[in-house]
Amino acid sequence: MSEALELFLHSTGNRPQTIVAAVTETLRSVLTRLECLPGAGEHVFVGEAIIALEDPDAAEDHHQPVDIELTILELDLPHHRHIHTRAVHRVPVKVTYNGQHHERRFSPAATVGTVLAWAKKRFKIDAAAGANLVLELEPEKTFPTANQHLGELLQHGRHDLRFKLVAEVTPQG
Amino acid sequence: MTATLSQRLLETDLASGDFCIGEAKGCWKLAQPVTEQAWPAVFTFISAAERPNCPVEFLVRWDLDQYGSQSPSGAFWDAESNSFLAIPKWPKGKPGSVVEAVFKTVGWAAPGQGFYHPYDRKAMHNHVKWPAAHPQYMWTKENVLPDFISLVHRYLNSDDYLGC
Repeated sequence: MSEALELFLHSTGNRPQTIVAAVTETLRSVLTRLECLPGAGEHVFVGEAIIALEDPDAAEDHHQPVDIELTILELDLPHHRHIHTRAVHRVPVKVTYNGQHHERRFSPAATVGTVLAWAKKRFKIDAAAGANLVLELEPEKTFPTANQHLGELLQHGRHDLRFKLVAEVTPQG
Repeated sequence: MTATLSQRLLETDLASGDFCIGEAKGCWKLAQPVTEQAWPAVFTFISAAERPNCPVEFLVRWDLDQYGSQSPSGAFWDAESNSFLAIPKWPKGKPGSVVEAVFKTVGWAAPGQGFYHPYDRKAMHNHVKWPAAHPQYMWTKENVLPDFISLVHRYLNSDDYLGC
């Protein structure tokens, strides 16, 4: 077997998996082996999308799905590490704060940490003042971690995500 | 739950994407292999934002007794003395911040031996009203150790973290 790599596989509604793939394998071969090829209307992305931090005012991320006939090496997965399969093309996200909101169509490969940083930019909140702000997922009222990808948060049948930007106040006393 | 079963559950969670992604990003790592001899103690390094005269990572000892059926307890640890990190060396948070609250070392049942957060079972002790009053902060059966590690990492990299 040629050089093997540890990669991270993300899919809708699931926690990420650690997988191993040879750099000469095609992505199709890897996904076939793991029984997670995309279906009709589903996409595969690689990497983590941080475009929203570079261009926060754009309406959507410009992150394109990949050709799964390419090899792990050709897709630069030794650098990107993350594979998102059975993904939607974009995840419409709405973040509400102090009665206002901002929306963007994110790549499913964007993380919650990226959405949080983007939201602070859009609401013009400086780092020191916003240090205690976290994203609360609606209607679940949970706090996803910074490393979670948006695609993972989409339960089957759900196509968008709504967050509230809230001050974290852990219980005292 | 036996130690062996708890240990197996933990090993599965440490091999999961949640832990390995943070490890690959340099956010945290195991400080030493998980062993039966050390169980239920497991040690991780968690990276911290740079602050003058402060370490760039902290050693955390996790007490994972009954892991899988009860929540962990964690605390900063001193490898040299093989004991909880001396209270003056604990990370400090901006006054009034969550960082200060979670790392507080006075005024509760286990100062310097746990994190004052509902994920930590030492903090949960005698706080029977917390689950009903603050359900969003509770440890549930869906949670895994990397969730708690991620939380501590966030606090150590917050702008409200002042150093140690």
